[in-house]
Amino acid sequence: MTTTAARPATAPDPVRRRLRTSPMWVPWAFALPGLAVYLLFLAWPVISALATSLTDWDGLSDTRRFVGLANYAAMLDDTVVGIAATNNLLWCLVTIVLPMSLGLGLAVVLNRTSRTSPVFRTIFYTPAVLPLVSIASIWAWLYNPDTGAINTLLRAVGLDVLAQSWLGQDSTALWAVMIPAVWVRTGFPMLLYLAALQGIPDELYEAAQMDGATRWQRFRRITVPSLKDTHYIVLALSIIESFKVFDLVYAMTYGGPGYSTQVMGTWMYANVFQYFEAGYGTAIAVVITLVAVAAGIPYVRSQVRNR
Amino acid sequence: MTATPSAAVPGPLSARPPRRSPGRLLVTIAVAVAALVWVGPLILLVLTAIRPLADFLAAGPLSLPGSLTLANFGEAWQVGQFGTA
Repeated sequence: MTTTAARPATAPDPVRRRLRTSPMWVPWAFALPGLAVYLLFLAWPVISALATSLTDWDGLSDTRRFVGLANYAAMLDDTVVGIAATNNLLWCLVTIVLPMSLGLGLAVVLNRTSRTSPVFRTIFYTPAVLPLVSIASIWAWLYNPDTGAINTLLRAVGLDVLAQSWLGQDSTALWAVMIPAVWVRTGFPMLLYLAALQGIPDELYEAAQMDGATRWQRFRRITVPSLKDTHYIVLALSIIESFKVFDLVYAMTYGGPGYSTQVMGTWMYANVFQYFEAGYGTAIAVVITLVAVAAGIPYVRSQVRNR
Repeated sequence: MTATPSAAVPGPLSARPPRRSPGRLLVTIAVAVAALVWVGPLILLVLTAIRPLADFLAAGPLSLPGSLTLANFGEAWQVGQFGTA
């Protein structure tokens, strides 16, 4: 009783003191549950994937032979990898630039307070809440050469020549898959840009207007620079999203016709799960991961530095 | 936010939004057309879901439903085996 009373108020926190004097393994014990999950579900799959990519495993049998970097060398000779890489680049370009610019344009137009703006905002955002597989089904149905709405519309206005098998020919298939991607991905940048636009003080625009700035100058010199952070976030998220392209292509064209819409993701899947080339497919997956990580490093570094 | 300066002015003029230039009207029309294109696939989706297949095949995807039905949903539930999945 007396010892408790005698202890000065500034005595170190007993829990902390005990931790400091406890053996080295105690802090690790606290980290163990999280660490175990991390090692089991993140580190181990990565390591085993790296190991698999150096073998000729077919994905099913017990035997696997170490083949060194042969799988990676084989990618250089694989023409489909060339097609897929080109398609990935095109896909990134279109599905980053178009949703970003459309989103920015819509945000600027719909930023004004009016009765119709909320309705329009809702409409443009709606596709973003749908599952990608549903979107793929909807658009494959719209693209149907015979009963699809797009060809029906073209025929109705007398443009029969333009009615075609959108997903069934090399020349249009990839573009036909990009349109739903733009459709679904415009809403989110619009939302982020809208939020950012609300944060720009009106005084800036009033001052610029008083100095005789035109509408374009105000947009160019006030709106665009004020949105710098938002551009950065939207761009980073778009790059990540575009790199992951798989579901829309898989569900709409399955990489076809021929190899014309293969992307790295679908080609990896085809090798691992269809052609029983798990070693080779995993090598593709490793390359995809390395490219994605390389592209993500600037973003992560900037985030770490800011915080 | 919603309180525009002109909203405080009484009289019939304040009843409508303050800025209404030809350019703005043009922008609104453009956005409305874009919105119609944007929501079009979903409207077609819903319209087709509530009409019989025969009606869809006979009149085409862009027509208004000739008759309405909810049978498609029940069928989808069974064909898709949602109940047992």
